Amino acid sequence: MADEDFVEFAQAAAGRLRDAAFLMCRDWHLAQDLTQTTLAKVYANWRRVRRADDPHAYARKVLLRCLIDQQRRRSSRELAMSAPPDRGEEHPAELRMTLLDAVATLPLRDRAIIVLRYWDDLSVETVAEVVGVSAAVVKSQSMRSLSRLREVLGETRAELFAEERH
Amino acid sequence: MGDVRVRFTDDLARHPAPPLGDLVQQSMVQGRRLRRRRRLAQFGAGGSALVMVLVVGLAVGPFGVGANDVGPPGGAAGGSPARPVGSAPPSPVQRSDGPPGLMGVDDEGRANPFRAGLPTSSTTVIGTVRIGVVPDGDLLPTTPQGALELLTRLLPEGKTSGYASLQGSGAGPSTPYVQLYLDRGAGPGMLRLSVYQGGLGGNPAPGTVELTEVPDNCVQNKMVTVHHPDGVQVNLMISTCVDWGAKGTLPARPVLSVDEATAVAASPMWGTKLPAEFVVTGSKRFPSLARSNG
Repeated sequence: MADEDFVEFAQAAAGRLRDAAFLMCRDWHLAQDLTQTTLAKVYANWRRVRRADDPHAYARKVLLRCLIDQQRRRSSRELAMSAPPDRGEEHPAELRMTLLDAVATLPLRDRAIIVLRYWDDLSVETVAEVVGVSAAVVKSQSMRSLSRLREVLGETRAELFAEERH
Repeated sequence: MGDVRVRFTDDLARHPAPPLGDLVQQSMVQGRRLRRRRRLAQFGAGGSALVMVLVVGLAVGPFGVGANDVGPPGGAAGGSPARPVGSAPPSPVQRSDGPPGLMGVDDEGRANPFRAGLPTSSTTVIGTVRIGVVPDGDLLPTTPQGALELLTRLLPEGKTSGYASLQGSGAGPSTPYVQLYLDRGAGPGMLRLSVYQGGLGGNPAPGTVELTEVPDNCVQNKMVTVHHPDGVQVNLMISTCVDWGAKGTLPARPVLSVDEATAVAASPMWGTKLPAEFVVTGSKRFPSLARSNG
């Protein structure tokens, strides 16, 4: 029964978790690995997690922790990658910097805040809980990061800031 | 906000995701493995506690007989001298999922003439060190030979010998656990080193240095543990005997101070992978390592 619950949860969460991981790391293979590790950890604690208010938020927290660990490992131990991250096919028309490229210039925590806030559409409070910072930090960092993204993208489009004005 | 999400969606559309495949099933397999490891660790901790309870129970006597015979506080009835107020030693930490061979449970698997009864160990945090950055270059999975090669380069000057690869209790097949003798001019002393990647979470911060003392165990008399990033811990054991295999052990002087051992174990090069040079050179320098039953 618990397994069935977990499978149901995992099937619903896997795609979204993997997309969020990809937006933060720009590498599908890594995103897949991180998602599997995340779900494995959730499964290992499933009895406790299923009783939590929001298992999805817990899973995001684990995912972020896995990504931070992976980045730390990479920066301290691994070689530079022999092949560039999976970036898909690029067409001449798409050579302009994408939002994904711009987000990659942000520190990991800020990247996570942007992805959780604007891709996963989580509330400021939930993002704060997942990232482990205060709601005020989430707000201020979102603002700064959007400003930075706009700078990097060379745009003055007000829409990028639209939400933060509310 | 809408704009950001739309642009994320566009970007994702440009980088199509591979199929999820059996990710959920694989995560369950991996999760079961994690659970098993955790249970084993808990079982180990419970087992250790049970052994302690039994030992204390036997020492005190059945039904508490003798427990009331120790006299008044202050040790005036022939017990051990009273400890001055405020001089309690740091609380020992019993390790449940530590490195191979730890806890003094006779990792030789045979009688040790320098030990009496069950060993008692205590682990205390003795400081922190800064773990540096690994130099650039190729990395290869750590092998016993690679670990010995690195160890011999990190040790103070002296003659090394008695190289061996060990298989201790709790060590996985991929856990390097090696031994050598170091002679700094006053005769050989034994050192053992293991590189161990701990379980999930709960590890002390990288750079934490712990000292485990097992007075009853001459092989692992003192063990310095330096915690590295990613849950890796490097344990360097300073023996007060040398292990002559089937011939037993002979007393020997410790050849490293705790500070020297800390410096060796804190090298940023230790990990589940080593700079390739050490692994390659080690395999040539130690082509056939003795396998101790340590």
